[in-house]
Amino acid sequence: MMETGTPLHQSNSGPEWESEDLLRISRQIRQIPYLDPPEILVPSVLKVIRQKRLPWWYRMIRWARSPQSFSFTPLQAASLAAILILISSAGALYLSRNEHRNAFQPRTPGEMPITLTLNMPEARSVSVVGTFNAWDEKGYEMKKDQRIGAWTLVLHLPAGHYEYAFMLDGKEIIPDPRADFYEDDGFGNQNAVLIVGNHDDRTT
Amino acid sequence: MDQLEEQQIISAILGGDADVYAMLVNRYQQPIFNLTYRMTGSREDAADLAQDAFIKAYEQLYRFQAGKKFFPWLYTIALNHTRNFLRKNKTARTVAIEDCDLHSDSDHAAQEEDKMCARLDCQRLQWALTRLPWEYREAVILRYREELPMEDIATALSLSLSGAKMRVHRGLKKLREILEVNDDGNRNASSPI
Repeated sequence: MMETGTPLHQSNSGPEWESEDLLRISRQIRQIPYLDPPEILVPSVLKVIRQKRLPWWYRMIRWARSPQSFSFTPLQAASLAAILILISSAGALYLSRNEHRNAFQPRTPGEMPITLTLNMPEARSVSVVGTFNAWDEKGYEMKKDQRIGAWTLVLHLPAGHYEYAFMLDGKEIIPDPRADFYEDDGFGNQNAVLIVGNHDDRTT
Repeated sequence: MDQLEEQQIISAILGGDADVYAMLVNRYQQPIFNLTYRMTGSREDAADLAQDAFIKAYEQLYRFQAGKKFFPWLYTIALNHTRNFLRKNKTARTVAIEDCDLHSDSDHAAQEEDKMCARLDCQRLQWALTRLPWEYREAVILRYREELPMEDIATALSLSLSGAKMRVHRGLKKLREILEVNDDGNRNASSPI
């Protein structure tokens, strides 16, 4: 069976033709009969696609984007809440223990945390130089603690005897005014002395 | 079925309702089947290829861009699939000329001659279309048989807008040339020696 059929889209044909015969041909094309597709086409397509599924990742995205509802019995909800509380408590306990350990224990075996402070609010920058960093200030910049108005830096040092000083604004070097000991540097200046651990070896 | 309705159908399919796809297959099976038939000249191959095209479109439906028209996208899939089939099988393209059964609501004897002329014109045109390279043939079919806007023809044939306009225009001119050569040949053949 054949039928002339109707066009899929009704639109005004544009002025593509230059002459009457092109217009006539274009009108004849509109009259071309179409073959009817076999009746089995629709059911056979459906039969195949019913066995197919969209890609799993696409189904996951669709699922995640659409609202979902979950139902619990009161007993299930209470059990779930208890488990969540238990997990969060265990996590909090673990974190607090870790924080405690970080504050008072060395980062690597043998190292001790040493906090240096300098009350010099007028300085624009302060670094620490000493025998532990070959008197190189890079990476040893102190941070200004806005609460107390002092410059601070935490060092992690193995046990030993160290000499050090503060570098102010990148040009002036002063010894730590709060140090317990000082030593001459051989050039007429003094360095602060830091002793970490039970150390009396003065070779560092 | 308008574009909004199509979009709703596609959303339903992507939501898991595969049976709704039947609405799209029903809507477009005729132009798609006729496309594959024009390309292969075999009803059997055309039916298989049309079925494959609809299944491929279903499998790729999640890639279909919302807001676009479904038919030009489907047409591209069917066209590429049929071309791959022809490339692999190297099938000779022989499209049978179907009988032109032009509808007429009058049985008046005076109109019978006009009807016969129109029928002959239609058959000549169908024959000429089989001589047209497929690129041009599909362009003029989409433009004048399906009455698609140029933008949709460009999408279906993977062309720029200006490329689609040129393809339609040249296709129509080539069709006229084929018809004119045929007319001249017939006249020469029938002229007395």
